[in-house]
Amino acid sequence: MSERKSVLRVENATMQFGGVVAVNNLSLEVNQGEIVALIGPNGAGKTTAFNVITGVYQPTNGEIFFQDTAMVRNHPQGKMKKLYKGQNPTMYTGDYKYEPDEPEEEEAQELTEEERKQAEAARKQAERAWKEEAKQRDPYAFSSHILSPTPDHITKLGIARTFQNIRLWKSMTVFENVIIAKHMRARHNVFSATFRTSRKEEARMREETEALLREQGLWKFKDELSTSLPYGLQRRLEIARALATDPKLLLLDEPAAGMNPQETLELADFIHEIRDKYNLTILLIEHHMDLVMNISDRIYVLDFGSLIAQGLPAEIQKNQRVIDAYLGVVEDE
Amino acid sequence: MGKQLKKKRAPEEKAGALIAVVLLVAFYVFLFLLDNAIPTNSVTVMLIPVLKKSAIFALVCVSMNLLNGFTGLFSLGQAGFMLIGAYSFAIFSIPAGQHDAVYQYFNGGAIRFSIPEILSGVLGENAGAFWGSIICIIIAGLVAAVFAALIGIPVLRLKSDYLAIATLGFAEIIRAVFQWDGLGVVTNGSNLLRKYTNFHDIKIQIGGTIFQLDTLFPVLIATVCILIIVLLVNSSYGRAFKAIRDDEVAAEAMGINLFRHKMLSFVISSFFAGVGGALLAMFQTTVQAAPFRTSMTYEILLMVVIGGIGSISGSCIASFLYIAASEWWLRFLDSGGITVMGTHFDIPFFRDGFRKVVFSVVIMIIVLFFSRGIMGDKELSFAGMIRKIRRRKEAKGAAAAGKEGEAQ
Repeated sequence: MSERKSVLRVENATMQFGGVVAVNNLSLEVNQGEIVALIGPNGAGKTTAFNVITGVYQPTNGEIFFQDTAMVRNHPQGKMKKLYKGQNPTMYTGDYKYEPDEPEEEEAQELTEEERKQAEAARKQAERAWKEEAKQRDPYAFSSHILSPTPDHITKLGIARTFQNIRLWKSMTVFENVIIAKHMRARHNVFSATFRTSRKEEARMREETEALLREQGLWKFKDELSTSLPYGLQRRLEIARALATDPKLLLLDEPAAGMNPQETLELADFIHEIRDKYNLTILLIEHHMDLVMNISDRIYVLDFGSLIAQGLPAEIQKNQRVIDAYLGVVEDE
Repeated sequence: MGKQLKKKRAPEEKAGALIAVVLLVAFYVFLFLLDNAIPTNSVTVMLIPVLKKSAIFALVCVSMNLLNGFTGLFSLGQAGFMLIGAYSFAIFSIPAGQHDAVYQYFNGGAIRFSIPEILSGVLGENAGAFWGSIICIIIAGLVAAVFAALIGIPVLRLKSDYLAIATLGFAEIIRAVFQWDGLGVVTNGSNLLRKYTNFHDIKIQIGGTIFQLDTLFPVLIATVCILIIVLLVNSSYGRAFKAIRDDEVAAEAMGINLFRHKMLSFVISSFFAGVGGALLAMFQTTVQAAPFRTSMTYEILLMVVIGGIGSISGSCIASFLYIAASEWWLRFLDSGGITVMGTHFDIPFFRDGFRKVVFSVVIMIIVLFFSRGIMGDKELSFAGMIRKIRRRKEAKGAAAAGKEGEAQ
């Protein structure tokens, strides 16, 4: 499994809201073509982890690599560092404030102009040397380390998501909901779109949207308002909308919420189907254990923001910590 | 394959578009006749200014609707951008010979050329005034757009009410700055700008005769601008704007760059507000910063709300009704009484200002009973009307057929 290409790698991600550590030092990896599940009790920080990955939040600490390229990175410095409550203190070695020993103020008055200049140069030299040394101890010592792209940028890289509580555009039709997701990759600008000189591009968008809606069995609803669809279809439309952004990695936030067992079974097939058809990698949050155990290649378990277990579904089912924290009730029944 | 992709147009849509074009052309012809052939009478005296002003306000309303109704940005800076447009237009079209008179306290001002005048030298007087004022109108829009781009960088990071407060503040600051004596060589301080090109100077020469374009010109400019906004709203960018309005988080997650799109909407809206301001300057024949106060923005907002937030045709209808009611139809309320068949009846409440009381009550009633405006977020569409009529006919036919069936 490790020979597969890494699609998403999260390293030491911590997300703090004031004193609350919603995600604590989370590291996970998703490889090409895998279906990976992120599970855990309510409030464990699963959705927060999604929001960190998709750029809604900037993590307090940590790095996220997409296809082995750093996409998000932040390491708290200075004041932020003191507020940092995560479990990764070893990463920071220095306090990044230059304090030379014993400034000689009394003699300074007696110095000539020339000497004063020399002293200044020496001080600068010392500061530079100190900076170099600090950088060697910690490569992110000074503030140039922050990488925090906005969600649209991350979507453009190839990460699409769905939402826990469906977030379709309410006043728009099914067709419009999907075609808007095509907007970002279309080759047009506001003038060519307004004055219809990029008609070909618009026609291409329409064609692709039609093809996608037909594949997803939503074509017959194309002119209906997105909110007038039944719940299950709204979920499917949200997935279709995410697929319209041509993602490489799809993040599904509780895709089976509110579905009955039959629909959940169908969803498992559906997720496999889209993975194969669109050559996707999937990371999902889910509470339906049947579904999770059925479809996922690997599982990560979060509790109170921290990773408590990871591994194959069979291993997770037997893991005592996971049973205590989360699965316990289900297993007893 | 390309042919299959072409959007198939329903026959109703074609017929609807045809009706719209025919009506628009008929309206233009009517305005042309109004300017040149129809003699002035008690109706046209009121109708002409109402038409001009409502065309201008329709444009400004639609530009505000683009921002508030389609992008969901609650901005109240419209009067500020109109002011910038009005001043830009006036400054660039005051004839060189009039500068000493207009800028009498500022030694004739700093900008001492007039674009319509320069063009008149090249194209002849009428064409020069026509094209010169169009160029000045475009400049007015561009200046407003540049200001919008600058102000948008800090302001568009704010949301809902905070954005409204910030843009409102900006409009007030602009008004104060334009009244400042320090900029007097350009803006003439708090004094009037006048003698620039106005609607009466817009003429067209066909053959040997000269035709006035007093009313047609503002309506033409306004319709062209509104048409461009309609095209924008129905384009991929318009859809993206609506997505931002409906759900910002989802829009951003689907790859729409929020800041860039909000900025586009803000700049485009301000461009057309600037154009509207230029037209208003032409209409008023004098410009002063003082009247472009917040109450003007509220008036525009009121028209947008009455027409329906998110409806372009609603904005147009509402601006006509609003202007006509406040400037024309309710005038008699101020006149002390009613004159019927030559005899005058004094009515105690009918006195100066009573019009505004009635007008406010009317607006309250409209807002109470049409809480989503006249049009809601729908558009006036002839295709839709045709479809409705056809459906009703079919339903009647079906009902008749059903009755026959029963009888048999």
